[in-house]
Amino acid sequence: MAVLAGGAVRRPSRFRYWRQWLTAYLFIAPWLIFLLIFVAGAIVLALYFSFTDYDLLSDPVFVGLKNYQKALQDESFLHAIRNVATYTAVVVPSQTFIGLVMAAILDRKIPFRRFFRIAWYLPCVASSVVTTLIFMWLFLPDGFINAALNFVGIGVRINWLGDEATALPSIMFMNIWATAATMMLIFLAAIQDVPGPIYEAANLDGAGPVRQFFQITLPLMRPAIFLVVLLGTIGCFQLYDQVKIATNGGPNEATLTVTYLIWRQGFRDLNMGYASAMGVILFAGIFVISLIQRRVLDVRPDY
Amino acid sequence: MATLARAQTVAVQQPRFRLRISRVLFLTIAAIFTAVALAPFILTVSGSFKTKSEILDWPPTIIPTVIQWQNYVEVWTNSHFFPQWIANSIFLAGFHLVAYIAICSAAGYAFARMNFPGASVIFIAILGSIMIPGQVLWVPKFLILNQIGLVDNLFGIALPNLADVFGVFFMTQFFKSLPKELEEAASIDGAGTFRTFRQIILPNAYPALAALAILQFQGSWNAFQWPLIVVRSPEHLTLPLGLASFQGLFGVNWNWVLAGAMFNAVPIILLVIFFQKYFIRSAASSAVKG
Repeated sequence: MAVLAGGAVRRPSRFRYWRQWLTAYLFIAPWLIFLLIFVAGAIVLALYFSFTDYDLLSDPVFVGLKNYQKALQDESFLHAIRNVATYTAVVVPSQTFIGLVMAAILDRKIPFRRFFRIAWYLPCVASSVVTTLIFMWLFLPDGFINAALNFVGIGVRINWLGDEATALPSIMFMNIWATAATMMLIFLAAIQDVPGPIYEAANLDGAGPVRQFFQITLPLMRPAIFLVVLLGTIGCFQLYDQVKIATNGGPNEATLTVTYLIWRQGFRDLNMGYASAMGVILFAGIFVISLIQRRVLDVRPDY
Repeated sequence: MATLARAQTVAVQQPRFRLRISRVLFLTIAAIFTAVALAPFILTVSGSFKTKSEILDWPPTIIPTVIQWQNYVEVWTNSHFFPQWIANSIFLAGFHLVAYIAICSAAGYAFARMNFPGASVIFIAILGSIMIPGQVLWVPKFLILNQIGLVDNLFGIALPNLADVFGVFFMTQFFKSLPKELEEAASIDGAGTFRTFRQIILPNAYPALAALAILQFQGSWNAFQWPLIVVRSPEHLTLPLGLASFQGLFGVNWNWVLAGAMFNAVPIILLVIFFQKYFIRSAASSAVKG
């Protein structure tokens, strides 16, 4: 066509390309503008401020790596990292295991499946504020948690969130309760993706349902397990809402987390530079951990 | 034949009598999970109807002795910003939904159907930004808002939330699944790109737009971290922020706190029950968002 028509058609067609590009850019422009300001621009600013002292009132002063050095020697920051590590080590395996059990149960033809699925999922959809307020009330010395323990014969009146020894475990419990079913949904989608003929072959070989689950379903779900562990870890590293609402990092820094410290340094004490540096360290931590997990869990399923 | 063979294997897979014990076991575990998942909500409903003194009783009662609606009236009237918080949350959710859907569907359409230089670079660079935790950008985003004078303003909460990758990714995938004949028919009729998008493409995208809208409503209605950074004055708080400030304000008035919590929890729970399908399907794909 183009050859036959010669140069006469060429110019309008180039014009049409320009018009197409312009239209495309007009379609993405509103989104791209917000992204350039609040993501790309913000990332650059975060890096820049992490090398400065800035208190919002006077101009930022360049201080090089001082904020990073300060963070690595800050007893509170190191304590927050320890808390978050402990928290992650308990919460991620628990929510993964419970999510897997939930998905395995829903995959069987038991009665009331639809009811179970929605009932288990409700803790995930209520806001963090509401679930935290509810658990603050349940965890009171006169609350239902102690009442339930007394009912089964454990006579205690613990101030769960007010006691240094039990505050972090209480928040762990709260969050496992609130997130397990999200993991269940990911597992459920993955279980349903396992090709049916594999089970049929296993049936012919006489493998029972339990063996099928451990020898077929579980190995094929490795990518889903990776996803759940990764998302769980990222979520745990960012633990904030429950700490901010229920304990403010206390008692005696027992529930201090990295993100709470970022808020405290940046928005209570107005050390914007120091807060930025801690944020960059948090990002680096999440990045490294996700690379390691990718290695360890080797995402590809082998059929 | 094939269906017959499948029917037989299915019958083998579920031997009625051999599985009885494991069925009982599964049902028992399921019942325990259900009790643990629902008990806090049920106790909250019951607590929201208790009197101020009954809620402090030891041992706590499961069913209130007198059902009193008074808590709901008092939480609405005594803390005189409460209706304002609800109005703010509704306004924010409404603004976010309209703007977010418009922006993401337009950008998603461009990525799905148009060729332009830089498309793949933009797309990959931006997908990479998902890895960055939101808290890392608290300080710079706050400072940007401070520059343009949107601190302590509802738009300061709303605008940065429009810079989101998930919605565009979601819409791009959806538009790619639409048949190309839709546009071809429209262009034969002489419709331009904008008209085709508005009159042909968007009406065909209702299921995807609805799923996106429901997820985004949940996010906006429940949001805590970013609004907490942006707004200070009591009249600008959203419902979750207001509720969180309750426990400091009223300390021991748990009957009010629980009644207030119902205003936040009930709409979202009803939404999930009515639109289960959307939640279950999209929750797994949106999980990447974290």
